[in-house]
Formats: sequence, C-alpha cells, structure tokens
Amino acid sequence: FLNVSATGLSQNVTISGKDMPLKKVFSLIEQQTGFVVFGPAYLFESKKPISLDVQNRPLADVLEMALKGQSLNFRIDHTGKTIFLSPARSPGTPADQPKEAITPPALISGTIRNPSGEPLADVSIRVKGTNTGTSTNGQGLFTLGNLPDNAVLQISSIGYEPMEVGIQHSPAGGYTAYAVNKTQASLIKATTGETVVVNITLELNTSKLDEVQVIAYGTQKAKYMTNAVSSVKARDIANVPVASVDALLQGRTAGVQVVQNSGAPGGAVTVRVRGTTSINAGNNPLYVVDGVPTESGDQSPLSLGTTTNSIASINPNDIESIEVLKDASASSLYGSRAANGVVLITTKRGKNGPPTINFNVYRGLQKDIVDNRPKKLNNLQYIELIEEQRANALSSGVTSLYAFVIPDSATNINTDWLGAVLRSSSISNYDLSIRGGNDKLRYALSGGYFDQEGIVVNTGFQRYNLRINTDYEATPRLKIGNSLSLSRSTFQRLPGEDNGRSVVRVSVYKAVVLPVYNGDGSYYVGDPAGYINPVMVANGDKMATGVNTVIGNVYAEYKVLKGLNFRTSWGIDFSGLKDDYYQTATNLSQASGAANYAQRLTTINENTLQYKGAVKDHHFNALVGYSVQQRRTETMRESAMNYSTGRITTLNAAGTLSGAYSYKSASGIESMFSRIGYDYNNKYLLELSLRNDGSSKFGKNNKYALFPAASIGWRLSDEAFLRDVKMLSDLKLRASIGKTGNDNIGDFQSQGVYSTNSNYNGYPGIAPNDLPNEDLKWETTTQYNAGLDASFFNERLSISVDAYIKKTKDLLLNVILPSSAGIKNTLQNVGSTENKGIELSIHSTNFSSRKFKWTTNFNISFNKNVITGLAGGGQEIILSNGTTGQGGSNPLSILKVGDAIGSFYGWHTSGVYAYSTDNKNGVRDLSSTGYLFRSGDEIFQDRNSDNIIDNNDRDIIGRALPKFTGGFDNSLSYKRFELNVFTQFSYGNELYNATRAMLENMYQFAAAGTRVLNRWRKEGDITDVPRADHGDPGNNRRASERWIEDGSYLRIKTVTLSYNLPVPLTKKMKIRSLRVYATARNLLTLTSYTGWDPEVSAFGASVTDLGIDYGNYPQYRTFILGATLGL
Amino acid sequence: CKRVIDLTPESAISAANALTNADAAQAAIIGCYDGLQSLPRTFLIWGEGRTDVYGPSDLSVVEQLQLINGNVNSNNSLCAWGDAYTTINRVNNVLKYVPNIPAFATKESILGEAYFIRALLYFYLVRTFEHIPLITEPYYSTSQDYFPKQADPAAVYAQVLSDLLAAETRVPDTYSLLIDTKGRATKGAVRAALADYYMWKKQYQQALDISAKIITGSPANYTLVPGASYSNIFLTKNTTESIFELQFSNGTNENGNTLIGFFLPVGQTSPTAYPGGNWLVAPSQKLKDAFEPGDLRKNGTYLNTGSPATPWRDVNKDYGAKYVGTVTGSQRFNDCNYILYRLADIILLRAEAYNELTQTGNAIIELNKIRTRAGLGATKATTQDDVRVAIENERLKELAFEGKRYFDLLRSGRYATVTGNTNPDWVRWPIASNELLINTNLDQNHGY
Repeated sequence: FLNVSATGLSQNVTISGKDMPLKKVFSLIEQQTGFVVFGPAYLFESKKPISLDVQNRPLADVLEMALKGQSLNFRIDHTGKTIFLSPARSPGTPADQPKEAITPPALISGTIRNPSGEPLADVSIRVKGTNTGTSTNGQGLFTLGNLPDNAVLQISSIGYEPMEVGIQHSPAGGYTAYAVNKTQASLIKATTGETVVVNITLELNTSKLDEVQVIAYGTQKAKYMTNAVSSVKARDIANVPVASVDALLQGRTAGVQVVQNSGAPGGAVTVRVRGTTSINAGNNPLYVVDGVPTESGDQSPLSLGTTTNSIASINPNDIESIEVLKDASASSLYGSRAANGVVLITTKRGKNGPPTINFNVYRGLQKDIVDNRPKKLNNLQYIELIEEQRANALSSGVTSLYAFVIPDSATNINTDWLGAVLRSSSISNYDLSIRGGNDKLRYALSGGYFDQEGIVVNTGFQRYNLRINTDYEATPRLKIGNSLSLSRSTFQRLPGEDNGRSVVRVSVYKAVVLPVYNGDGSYYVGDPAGYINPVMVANGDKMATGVNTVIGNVYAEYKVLKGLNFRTSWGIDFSGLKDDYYQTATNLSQASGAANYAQRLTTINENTLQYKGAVKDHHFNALVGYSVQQRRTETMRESAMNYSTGRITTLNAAGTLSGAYSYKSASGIESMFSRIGYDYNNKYLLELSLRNDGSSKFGKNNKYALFPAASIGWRLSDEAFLRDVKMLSDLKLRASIGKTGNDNIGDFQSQGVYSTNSNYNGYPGIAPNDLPNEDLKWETTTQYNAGLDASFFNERLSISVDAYIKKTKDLLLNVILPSSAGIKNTLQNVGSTENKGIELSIHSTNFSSRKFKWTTNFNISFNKNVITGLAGGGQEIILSNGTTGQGGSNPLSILKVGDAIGSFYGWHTSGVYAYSTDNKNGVRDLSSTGYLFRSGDEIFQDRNSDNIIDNNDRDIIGRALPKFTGGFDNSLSYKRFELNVFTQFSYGNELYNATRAMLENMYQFAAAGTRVLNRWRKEGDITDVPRADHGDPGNNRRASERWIEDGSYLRIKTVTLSYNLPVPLTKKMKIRSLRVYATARNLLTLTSYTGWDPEVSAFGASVTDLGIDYGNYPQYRTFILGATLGL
Repeated sequence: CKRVIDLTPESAISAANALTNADAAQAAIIGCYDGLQSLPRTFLIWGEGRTDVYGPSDLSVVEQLQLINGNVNSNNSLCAWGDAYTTINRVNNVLKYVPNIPAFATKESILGEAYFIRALLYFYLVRTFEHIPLITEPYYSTSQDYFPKQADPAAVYAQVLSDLLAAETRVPDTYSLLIDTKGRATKGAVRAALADYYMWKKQYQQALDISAKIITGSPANYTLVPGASYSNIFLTKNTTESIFELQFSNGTNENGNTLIGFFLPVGQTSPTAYPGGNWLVAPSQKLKDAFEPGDLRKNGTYLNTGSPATPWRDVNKDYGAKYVGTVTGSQRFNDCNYILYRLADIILLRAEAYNELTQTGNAIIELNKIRTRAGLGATKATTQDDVRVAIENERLKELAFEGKRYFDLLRSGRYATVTGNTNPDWVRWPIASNELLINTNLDQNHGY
C-alpha cells in the first residue's frame, strides 16, 4: 500500500544503476527534483540495495519502484517539495495493528527555544492542513491535541527560520519527531508516551540566500539571481518618521542616490538609480506597487509652491519589501520606462495562521537646527552697510540712487524674520493592521494616519490610508485576489523657492530693520526691496493640496497544467488632486485665488503565462506576457480675484473671474514580453528577456521598440573544487547586458501641436507651438553589468560588488532652435550620456552571542556621469534657468560634452583687489570701454587674457553630482535592548550657495549675512569679500566660484533605541508583544558647508539645476517616541 | 475600438489638421496678434532706447543703464528678437496654409492682416539690426534649415514693401467693432506703415501720397484729440487719433502689457496705497527740459511721485506716465494699449517729408497743427534746417515713450549729433550673443 498524495502529479526522474544504496537513490532524486527526502534516520539504514533503470519517469512512479519491498511508505508533499518516508506497516508488526497505527498521539507538547537556549514566546504552531494551531506561552511551552496521523507541525516566529516537524510512529513503538525542512532529516529530541514531548530549537533567520526577492513579473531566490537588484525589507524601514517611501531608500541601497530636496512635509525627493541618464525626459525610476505602475514625482499642476510627492500616498508601514532593479536585465521587462531603474514596492499580505494584530504609534517633535540658520547683520550694522553701499555707488559714478529715508525707528527694530515663521512642530503616526488567514483565504487589512506639521508655520502633511490585500484559493487550480490601497493626502504648502512670496527665502533676505506689524497690529507691508511680509504670507496665504488616490488590482491565477500558470491582472492607479490657492490682499494688490483639479487615471491589464520545469539537471522557467496600459489626465483651473472678505478663501467669494481652463490628454502603451530562465544543476544560470513596447507618444515612424536583455550567473560555491572550502558559504559571479528605454515626454509632443489660448481682443486664437517629429522615439540605454556575490562563515559576512556602464543614446533633448525659427525648441533624439560606476555592499554579523549581537550593513556607490553628445554636434548647452540669486541674466548651469550633468558655469575668482593699482592689466568688464575694475572688486580670472571679463571667461566652476554616496547601518542588541545607528554620506558634490549670494551681494536693500563684516572698505584692505556698492558696477555678485562650496557630508540620519518587553510582563498584560522605542533623526551632520544644510536642491525637479541652495525649506531634526503593540 | 497607441489629442490640434477651415484661419490670425502682444516693450526700446529719452531711475540696473548711455552690448536681453520671429512664424503659417482653404468671406482680409504684421515686424528688425535672417516660409518639420544666414538688407526692405502693398489691397477700411478697427490691420494702419517705410527710404513724395490717403481717403475719420485731453490718447484708449494700437484688456486669458512695470515707480502703501511698477527708467532731463511752458502734453508724458513719501520711499521723482493701466480697488491691471501709429505721428512725418522736399512752408503748416494742439504758439523756425530740428524736437515731445526717437534720428542722420553717441556702430544694435551661439551662420554686427 502506497500512500501517494492526491496532488502527486510528478516531476520526472531519471535513475539508472545497480545495487545502489537507498541513500544514493534518494540523493539522486533530491538532486533532480529539488525535493527533500525526510524520514527517521534508521529508515535509511540496512535496507536492500536497489537496482533501477528509469528514464524520465514521474517521481511517484520511481519512488514506487525504488521502495518496492523496502517496507517503506512515502508521501509526496508538492508544496513543501518534500518526500516523507515512514515505515510500512507489514503484517505481524505491532505497528500494523490498526488501532495503534491510526491513532495519533493524544497530545503533543514541547518547548521552543532560540539558539541560545532561551524559551521563545509567541511562536506560532499550526498543524499542517488543518485549522488547529496554538502559540507558545512565556516559557516557550505549547500543547496541542486532536492531531491527525502523521501530523506535521508548522512552526514560525518572526526572525527565525520557519520549521516543520513531523510526528510519526516509531517502529520501536510510540512516536518520533523529525524536522522536515532540513536537507538532512534530523531527529528531534522527543519523549514519547501518552503525550509526545518535543524540544525544538529554532534557528535565526539569517540566510539571505534563500530569501525570496520580487523581480519583474515574478519572484526569485536571491542565490539564483543573475541581476543587480537591491532589496530593502520592512524591518529596515519600520517606523522611521518620514512621510514617504522613497526617502527611506536613502543610504540603504547601493547604486541609489536619494536627496531630500527640502524639509517641506510630504515634499519631493530626488531618487537616481545609477546616475542621471536623461536631460529632458526625467530621471525618476519607475515605481511599481504590487504590479501596478504608479505615478511618481510632483503631480500638482500648481506651479507655485513647494512640490508634492505622489509616492507619499503610500503608507511605509504597509510595505513588505522594496526591490530596486538596477541593471538592464533586471528591469528590461519594463521596457520603455525602465532606463532609470525600477522600484518594486510589495505590500504585506496575509499569511496562514491566527490573526496577528499590530498597532504602531509614534509621536514626536521637529525643529530646525537653529545654530545653522543664516546669520544676519543686526540693525545698526545693517544701516551702516547700506549707507556705505550708497556712498560707494556715488563714488563709482552712479548718480541715481535709492533715495529712501531711513526712519529713526529702524534703530529700534531688529526683526528675527526666520524666528517669526519657524516653529517646533509635531509629527505623529498611528497604524493598525490585522493579517492572517488559512490555507484557502488570506487577508491583510490595515489603516493608518500620519500627521506631520511643518516647521514653517501653517505647513504640513497628513495622510489617511486604508489597505485591503486578499488571496483566495478558490479551487486547487484557481487563485484570485487583490491589492487595494486608498489614501487621502493633504499638503499645506508654501510658495516655492523661486516665487516672490516664498516664506522661507524672504525671511532669510528681508531686512531686519523692517517691522512685522504696524502700530495698529496690521501687517507692515512696505519694503524698499519689494519683498512681501513673510509672516503675513505664511498666515494669510493658502496653498492646500488634497490628493485622493486609489492604487490596486485584482488578479486571477490559473494552474493550466503542472508547472504552467496563467495570470491576469487588472489594475488602476488613480489620483484626483485639488489645489486651493489663495493669496492674501495687501495694500498693493487685491486678494486673488485659484482652484485646480487634476485627475489622472491609469488603467492596466497584464496577462502572463509562466512555465516552470526541469529535465534532469536542466531547469527551465519561461514567461510570456501581454500588457496594455492607458493613462488619461484631465485638468481644470479657475482663478479669480477681488474677494469680498478675507475670511472666505474659496472662489465663490471672489468678484472677478480672471481665468478658466480645462484640458485633457492621454497616452497608451501596448506591449508583449517574454523571459526564459535556464540553469544547469543550479550552478550555471542564464536568463534572456525581450519586451516589445508600442507607445502613443512617439512619431509614427517609431511606434515600436524592442528591449532585449541577457544575463548569466555561475555559482562557483557549488562547484566541487570550492565545496569543501569551509569558510565560503556562497560565491556567485554574474554578468548582464541589456537595453531599456525612457518615454517620459509630453503625450502628443511628436505630433507638433498647435496651442490654444493665444487670444486677442476677446477672440480665441491658436498658434503653432511645436514641430511635428515623425521620427521621435525612445531614449535607449544600454547597460552592461558585472557582479559578484559572496558570503563567508555561514553567511556572517556577505559582500556584493557590481560594476556597470550605462550608455544612453537618442536623448529626448529639447533642441534649442535659433529664435529666428519662431519655435523655441523641438524635441529630438540627439545626444548621449554615459554613467559608469561601482557599488559595494557588505553585510556583517560582527558579534553574536546569547546576549549581545552586533550587525553592520555598509554600502557605497561610485558613479561617474559624463555627457557624451549633444544636439547638432554642439559641445555645450548653457542653461538660462538657474539665474537665481544673481539679479541678472547669468546662467548658472551648463551641459558640456565631456563633463557631467549638473555642472556650475561661471567665473573663477581669486580674492579682491586690495588697491586699484593691483589691476595691473587694466581689466575691464564686458568691453574695452567697460567698467575698469578697481579696489574692492572681485578679481575675476581673465581666462583668455584679453583684459576683458566677459562670457568668454566662464568655465565650469563646480560639480553638483557626488563622487560617491553611501550608508552605514549598525545594529547592536543586548538582551531586550536594541540600538540602531544609521549613517548616510555623500562625498565630492559641490553646492551653489545662492542663499549666501543673496545675503552677501551688498547691492540691494535686502538683509546681509555676517560675513560681509569682512568686506573691503578702504584701499589696502585684504579680504575675500568685495566692496559694498549699490551699483555693483563690476558685477561682483555674478555667478562665480565665490558661491561654490563643498557639499560633502556625513549624517547620522537615524538613531533608534528600542526595548522589547519581557514575556512575563506581556503575558500579564494579555498581549503578544510590546516594543517601545525612541528615535532621533538628523541628529548630527558633519560637513564643511556653511549654509543651512548640505542636503539641498532648490530646483529638485530639474535635472540640470542641481545642488542649488536658495532659501529652501530647511531640513530639521526629529525626536520621536513610539510603541509597537502586538495582539 | 481605437488602439491605445494611436491616440490623437483632444485639447490641442496636431499640426497636420490645424489650418484647414475658416474658423481655424480666423483663430490663427488672432494668434498672430497675440504674438504682437508680447512685443510692446521690444518695439519701444528698439525704437527709442540708446537715445536721449531715458534717464536713470533709482532702480535702473546694467541693462537699462546701457539703454540710457547708448552703450548696448550683445548680452543685453533687450537685444532678443525671438518674440518677433515667433510671430513671423505664425504669420508664415497663415500665409502658407490659409490660401489652400476654400474661399470664405474673410479669407483675403486675413491674408492682408498677415502680410501687414509680417511687414511691420521685418521693418522693426531691419531698422534695428540691419542684418537679419529673412524667413518667409513657416517651419513645420525637423528637416528644414534652421540656421539661416543674414539676408541683404535690401531684400528685407523689398519684402517689407511688397508685404505692405499686398496688405493694403486686402485689409478692410474698418471692422464692425471699434477695438478691431483700432487694434487690427486696416487700410489706415497699412498706409501709416507705408508712410513710415517711405520716410525711412527717403521716398518723400511717396510718403506724402500715401499719408494723404490716411488723412483724406476712406475711412478718413482720424482727428487729433484736443490738447487738453492729450493724456486720454493713452488712458482712454482707441481715440479718434489712433490708427493702429495693440489692444490689451484685463479680461481673462489674455496677455498684459509689460510696459507698465517699465515706467511706473515702485508702489507705496501709505499715506495712500499706490500699486506701482519696477521703474526701470525715468524721463531724461533733456526730455523734461524740452517741454515749453504751457505744453499740454507734459502731464500726459511724465508725472511726479509727489511728497510726502512713505518712509524708505523716494520723494519727488519723475516717471513716464503714458502706460499706467487701470487701477481697480488697489489692484493695477496691465491693460494699457500700445500705440504703433497715430495721426500726430503721421502729420509730423508729413511735415518732415515736405521739409525734405524743400516745401518748408507746407512743413511749417503741418508742424503747427501739432504745436497748436499742444497749446503752443507757431514755430519760430523758418529755414529748412531749423524746421528740420523743430520737427525733430516736436516729435520728441509728442512721441516720447512711443518708440520713435531712435529711428527718427537714424533716418535724419543726426543720431550722433543729437545724442552725443559718436560711435558709428551704435546706429544698429548688436545681435544677441545667445543667437550667435545657437546659429553659427550669423555674423555679429560690426563693432560688437
């Protein structure tokens, strides 16, 4: 009698041999099928030798043949890939007596311990295939009854390897217990009797090799990966007090550079995977949430204001893992959108077992780092400065002067504008989840509320989240389920850095001698420099954005044949965004307001057919798929002015409509894709993939593009010559090559649209706006990657190294046309960039004992970006934006062939002329008759030695991209305490300190920084701060080296100290677990940068205007206290 | 069911389907005027920068100081000609595609308007820069030549003349609405431009002949507004004197006139709220001194901020007052018009033409029409040379801040004498340095 399970449709086996020991047969089967054979050790001994000659026969058949006459029963468990052996009950043996044979033990009990021998509480024990289950008490004890015969206990606990223990009759009578999921079946110490008592030791879940990682359209074990993928797990990012997921990637993944552009709550984060490839078409990676490609970046059409971040709609606590697909072979299945890398976000799903309920709460305080605020001259110093500015201007021949009168009251006023708009603010998060399920139905429900007040008054971010993820095994062959996330985010924003009403920037620059309020308590709005009163704007203006999002899909998976699965999924990514804008009235302007609605709906249908199989040692898996996706956007905008009362800020209170607008647009992608994976004996790995994308965005001559990729891997550690190297746990070499694309341009840009709204005299007008380009196509990135994964000493030390070259061509570059063309620029596929780099990540368990453990994660990434070609064979494009802080039209950024994106362009300087006679060559500004530089002027380098300082003397004066970035994460645990210190760094990036440029230009009526106390004042003064001059005839304030600073930094990003309550206490409290913790964020930053914070990017959304510090919303320090309660 | 990769825009028109019917043609010509709306500041500064009209305000910075002292360099953003060519491209589209549309009522008129706008723009460009690309075909494909060389100025002038003549036969005398009659191409507007053109080419008799049609021919209803109402020419807009003025309104979805910020002083908040501008230039002392006592035009040309001033704020400063927009509540709207041609200009051109044709007596008659209107006595000048200077000065006072002075002085060859700007290269502007970088086929004008 053979106990073959119903699902015993088999994998095939080929065995040929005479008089083989049973062990050998089983080891062949294990090799060929990947199944593990388990049974009591004695069953393997002293059995008859076996002769077999089977070719490609089903496993069950082979087992049947092999075990014929061996008095062994077997049972095949396909989900667990395990073959269970048990003694056959032949007549005459006691075990054959039906009563005893069938009767399971009445009770089973035992103690579950950790490797240090301490009993473990809250370990879940379930009886496989039943609803029976329990968990251990504070002493690690459990008891189970009502067991089936040959029961298998599934034991699991967070942080430990899951384990299955089989309970079987012993031929010697009673029962034995075996660990099933070990390669070598091992006997667990069991005492038999009426009650079987087992003592089980769980092993720490340390093997990253067997961790399953999410990949494009599937999953794979880390050890078989041939691609460059970085993974961040839930435990690494739990309860870090930030609004959005992308911020969590910072410093944790090699090859991913993350910059928090500013401290604005919910604000945009710049994420670059392996450098900047594109100049025009965006560099954000593609975010895929549970299989649904999701919008990223700023989605508000309100161009004013600190930016919003659509990724902020996802609750970080719902996330199970984040995988960053970095090389082409990892990402090429996402084809035309994958060139900037792909971030796969996988949310938590229900698992078999009783419901686990988790409640997280944290609350904290945030405050900017007061010592780092820009330091300004006080009122008396300031009045002295502006008097000097005017006097010097007169002596420079400027006859017309700012003839303002300095009121006597000025000497009594010393307004701390920053102090008036900054505050310490609160942050809080509440998060409740219930997850669980059984063999058929698994569920994960969660809800959360996150509330972050900004450190600038009246700013903030709130998010409400609901998530429902379910999986249902409707029949053995059909599985259906869904992921669904609903969220509501609200942003209270501010006018942005480049806006005249920017609260933070104006507070930096506004003269200290001006009061906040008039005598009657109303706001004082006069300012000779024309600045608004930032306190009034912060309190009176309104810039609120509310976003509702729905991201989710439903899926069905059907097992067509053994190994062949069909999956279809239907997903949406919806967001409806409403901006309410209100600009408060001043004496000089009426109140005005606007309302925008922007709706975006992406629908996607994906269908895949996947096959997994093996012939002998040849393992295959194959995937073919079809995907169709459409994205529709609609916007509406109304603006109005002349408000009846300052109390109502919505448009209904406005008297005059000043603008009305609505717009629709759409794009679509239709794709076929396939992937074939092959390995021989799990040692030699190969993967090929191909995607064909068709897109509505591109010219009719280039609607379709192919994105192929290939990768190979060699698991050296499985080779015979390395298998005996004890210290080596794993060694794998990888290489890949592939193409990916970037399609991130306007919907109809290839069609050369006429724009509307060119109106005159009340008649509607149209005008050509763009050139049609029938050849427009994708940017194509070809990436080569070579990598090595190694781990040593039982995986206590693991190292991963990758080197890559990314060559991007056919850049979607806005070619600037001569303005005689009448069309400013046209999008063409010209230009190329290259990124190459090396990434290293190290994971190490430095120390591990019963009480004390210390682990370290370290990663570092070097990337070198270079522009290899520009439009029309041109050598450089000087960008006219980024003129910020100059008061003139000096461009700041340049794209230059042979240099990196994000280079600053301007003049070299070498101090200040102490004497007029120091200008020995008679260098003049702009022309041979221009201004003659004199004492107190900046010494600009005359690069072409024509004694004229003009545009031809400009050069690259700084580079915003870092040489390397990385992170350093240490966890120390002692008994129930755990300390985590996460450090993150960036080296070799330079910043353009436009904030300082504004504070030290000494020609305006704006505030001045304390550095100008060192200004040149009389002949012979040796200093590096030039003369104060209202006329600034030598344009000393121009974009020069004077404003460039080293932006390297090392930052202790988060420090968390936590304590897990001991089990007796939790037992008393009738809860499963309780962890309390305190976290500090941005605790300490080491940098030589003199500005507010080195992590800054005023024009974060811009690819080219990088690293500009311009009165940004400041970064801040956060302290939180939190607790995680398990029920 | 349409495939997702074959979408067409819903809220825009792809170039292929744009100009195929009468409505589109009408919208496209409106788009050309919309292009002109971005140009008042350019017209103004090209036409009178680098002369003696502007003085520095307290807020003048390098770019404006260059306009004031005449030493304009190629980095000055005011050299940019992009907006003019943007409009030329719109016009070229109209002229290429509208003829293919089956006949409709306003077809010829639309083409005439297009010719007029193109002529106007090339006339400004060639007088300012002299050496400019001449583009008469629209750009519609990426494979065209985007890097033209500069044309022979004679070819540009020939194009201007032929376009104006083509326009004259096509455009109507009037439109049904006053703002269209004043704000769109009419026979009067085209003839004013022709008169201006002939004067520039020193074809004085032709100038007299064509300008006579403005005064006597249909619609023949242009009259000078009374001197006491001089400022109304600019404040009430579209007066009887106006021949062609670019229209601005504070209505929704239209451009504002950026000249307001250019002249108006910075606002003040107390004792009275005064929404202001950027005050980039002020009237020159020479201009202020030019006004004789009792000149009714003075207060329409510049005003004083007055006193007392609010703390921190200037007192008793003068500012140009022709472009002030309207103030509603405490909000200033940039809705003043920009006049390209008005009757007083034409009368003074006629005076100049008579004088150059040695009909000095007739010249004095024309000149005195303007002086009389301004509340002044007859001119004392009698000789041709004196009358020439008298007309020049009258044009300064009559047309200050209307973008005429630079072209007047170049036309008469008296630029260096009058302004003291003796550099012979200053009679044309530098090509903007950015243009030279992008189009390497361009040559910089001599001396820059």
